[in-house]
Amino acid sequence: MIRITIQEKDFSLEQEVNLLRNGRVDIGAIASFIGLVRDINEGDDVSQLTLEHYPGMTENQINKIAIEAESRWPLQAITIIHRVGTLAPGDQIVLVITASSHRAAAYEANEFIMDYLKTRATFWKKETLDNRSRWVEGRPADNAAADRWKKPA
Amino acid sequence: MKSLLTGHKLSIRVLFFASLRDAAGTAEKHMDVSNGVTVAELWQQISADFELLPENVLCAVNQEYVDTDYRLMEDDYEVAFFPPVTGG
Repeated sequence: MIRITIQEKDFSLEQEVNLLRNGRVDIGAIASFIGLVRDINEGDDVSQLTLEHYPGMTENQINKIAIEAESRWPLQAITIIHRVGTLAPGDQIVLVITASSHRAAAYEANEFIMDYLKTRATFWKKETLDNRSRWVEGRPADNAAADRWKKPA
Repeated sequence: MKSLLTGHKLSIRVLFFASLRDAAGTAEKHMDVSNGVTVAELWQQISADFELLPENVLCAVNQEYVDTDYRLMEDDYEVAFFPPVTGG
């Protein structure tokens, strides 16, 4: 089961894990990743982070990533929550939960989803510094991280 | 391909996101473009008077990523231009 949510409000890891488990007893491993807003980026103090996205396309892209993960690993459930709007340092931005019978699939699929989410999902971050704001630029390292999952031709 | 040469226009929505919206001064515009025009040609036409463009511009048609040589056809109603994504 795939659950994808784009929302302004915060999320609770515990609530989401409980929702995902929903009384099931066949799940043997759950891996979770939470991305947070850092207080310093590129050497500058960040006071706020504003996230925007492309409604519709974002959900479609994330759904494709989740389906791809399901095709590569034996997963029992995936939850992906991404926040948009204005956030402060320390706030949670993104949650990815993957569940499987065994831990290797849960770990690997979780990393795969995050790597693709960072390079394909249509979100953009704008940082507010002391007296100005700037759009965050895409990082080549993120592309490299996603590229390592490419299947040989 | 039949409609390539008919010369009629497609009515499309063009969306801009993030730094490209700032450069465009708008989030959305309606345009009439030639059937069969590539998204690269459309981008050249639109961005002629933009300043401070990001290094890489990505394009989506009907909310799917496309390459720059993608040709707009009759069912293509929503074209989006945006900088590399930075979520997660």
